[in-house]
Amino acid sequence: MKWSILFFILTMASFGTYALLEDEIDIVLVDAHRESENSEAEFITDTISVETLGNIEFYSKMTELADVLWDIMYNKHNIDMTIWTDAVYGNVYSYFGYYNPGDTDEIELILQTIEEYLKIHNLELTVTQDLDGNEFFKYTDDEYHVEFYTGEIESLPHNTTFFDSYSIINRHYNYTNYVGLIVRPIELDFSDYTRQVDIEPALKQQMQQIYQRVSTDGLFVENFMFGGTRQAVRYRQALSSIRLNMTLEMEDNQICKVGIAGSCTAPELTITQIDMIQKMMNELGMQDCSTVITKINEILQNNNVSNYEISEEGFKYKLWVTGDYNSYDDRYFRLNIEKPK
Amino acid sequence: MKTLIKYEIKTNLPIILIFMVGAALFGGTLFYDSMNAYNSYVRLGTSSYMVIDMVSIILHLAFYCSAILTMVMVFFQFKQVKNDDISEFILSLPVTTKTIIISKMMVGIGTILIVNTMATIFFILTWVKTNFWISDARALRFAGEIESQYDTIPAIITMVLIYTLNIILVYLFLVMMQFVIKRAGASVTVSLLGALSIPYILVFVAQLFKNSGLGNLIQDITTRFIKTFTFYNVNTAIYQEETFMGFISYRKMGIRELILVFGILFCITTIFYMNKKVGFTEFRSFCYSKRCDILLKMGVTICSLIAPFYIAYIWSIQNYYIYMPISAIGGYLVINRFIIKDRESGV
Repeated sequence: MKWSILFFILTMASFGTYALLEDEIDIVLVDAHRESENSEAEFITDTISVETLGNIEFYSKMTELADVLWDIMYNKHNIDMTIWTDAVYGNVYSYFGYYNPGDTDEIELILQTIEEYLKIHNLELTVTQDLDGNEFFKYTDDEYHVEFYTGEIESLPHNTTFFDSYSIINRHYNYTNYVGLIVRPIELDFSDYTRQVDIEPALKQQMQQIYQRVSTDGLFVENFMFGGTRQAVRYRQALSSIRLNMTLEMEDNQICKVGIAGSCTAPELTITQIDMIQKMMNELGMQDCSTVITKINEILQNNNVSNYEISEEGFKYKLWVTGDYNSYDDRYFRLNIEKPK
Repeated sequence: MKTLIKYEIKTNLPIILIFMVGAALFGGTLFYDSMNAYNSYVRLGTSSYMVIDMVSIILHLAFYCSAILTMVMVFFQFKQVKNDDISEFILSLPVTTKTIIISKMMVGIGTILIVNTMATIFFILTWVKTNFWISDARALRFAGEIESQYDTIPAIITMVLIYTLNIILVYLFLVMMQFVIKRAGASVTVSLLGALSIPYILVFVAQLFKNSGLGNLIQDITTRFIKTFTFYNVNTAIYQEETFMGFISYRKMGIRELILVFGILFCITTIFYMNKKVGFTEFRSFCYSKRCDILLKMGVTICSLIAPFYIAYIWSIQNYYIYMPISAIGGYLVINRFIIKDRESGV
């Protein structure tokens, strides 16, 4: 009898410990591009060194998005970092999607989630304008800053970032309305960001904060994933630069991986991207980077090379190019830089 | 003991054979899938394929199949020794009930271990046979190196070990319940429903406190209950360490297996205690005691009370709570009648 009681208590105690432990999720990856079949998030899971990540929760649909948003807001999980791909407007945690009213109730889920959250926390939405003059809803609580945009695509000025993104997507889809959602921890304040000015220094600082936070928690995110717009490219440029600088401080046996994916790899943006890589490598004093750049160009011209690898003294470059660059759904570009072990 | 074990094997032979055929089928499925993967897309080097992923999927499916088979096995094992249908052969043997229960458990757990070892051999052979080709494909892939770190033989063995712990716990729980409920068949049914009733009740309670801290906590507890006891969501991400000890020490994952081990020990110790206290034939009522009957009635009444909540969820019925008292009374009357009838039929 006493043994039964002892093991019952031990079972319950260990289950209680397990149930009360923080969730095992370390990083949430959200592929914000609901249209994307060949998702960028798939690319992330390929790119990130899973060793350092722990468990990954992966969401790619709007319905799931509402759930994950809810979790993030409640901080239910011990999530160290959330990476939302295709960061339109250059925000780390963002969603931008398109829909036709009446076609889906998924947008409703997002709205309901926000409404419920606001109600519980006794918060009010304020209507404000972005730099393009678009109205959007915004609120900020102790932890999160949330902006929510919705409206008709046609109402967007054609020079906006949203329209940039739409113009790419609408090659395949005929959506009439857009929805934009930006959620970010208050500590990562992007309020200095303006599209008209060079924001790199501010961004660098903010991304350093992310890095600090993540590295303090014992995790190292080995990937940056930004896409969508010219602005995003600018962000990516800043971030990748920081990332590579960080790489130099890493231990010898660690691997640095830089991944780039998303709409940013559209042909019209590829040149910017190559420039960026060129710049990054110059910053790092990689004199022989021209070899890589030349190869990138060659591969882009050939348009359909499955992979390429080149070894350089000190660093090993692996360059992977997959798919048809002129097709929206299968277009990504990979550059993997590994430090020698 | 030897005679008993032989007798157990003989009487349970069809189920043991089904278990073995199942293991062969699942092993064959893995082999077929791996070969197919190689022939189709892995060769192209564009998609990920890991044997361990398929092992995980197969074991998920196998868990439910094995759980059902285990129920059948326990039913046949105990049918012969319960009040209603005592085997003449067992009665004729000069053995204690403890020896009988030990021999039954040895055959039951032995079958699970042998079958799972068979499956592991199938899995490892598949891995060995296909790894060479898969490695080639991985060499072309960006994430190939990382996949190779996951897709290992120790990872497969660890996964099967966890699966085995799950099934053994199911088996022992069912055996333990044989000492709680009088009839072998009813015991298996009540065990199954009793296990299901835990998430069934918890989901309802979580819904009651939805969007509050308590609701979230109960939801977490429910999810983790299911995860722990049904081999749910045991994925490759947890097999990062090559060795079993490494695996145990990795992050918090070892705790799930610890729960299973303690659960198994609890069942074993309780079985021996109940065997001493109740035995196979000392049942005074539907359960081993009248107090236990009352607990069963309470459980059924609570579950019936909740039933309209689920029915309303399926058919979108408003104001379901109106029907809850009626359902609870109905549930109570049914189980009460059932127990009385069972008592009247009095074996």
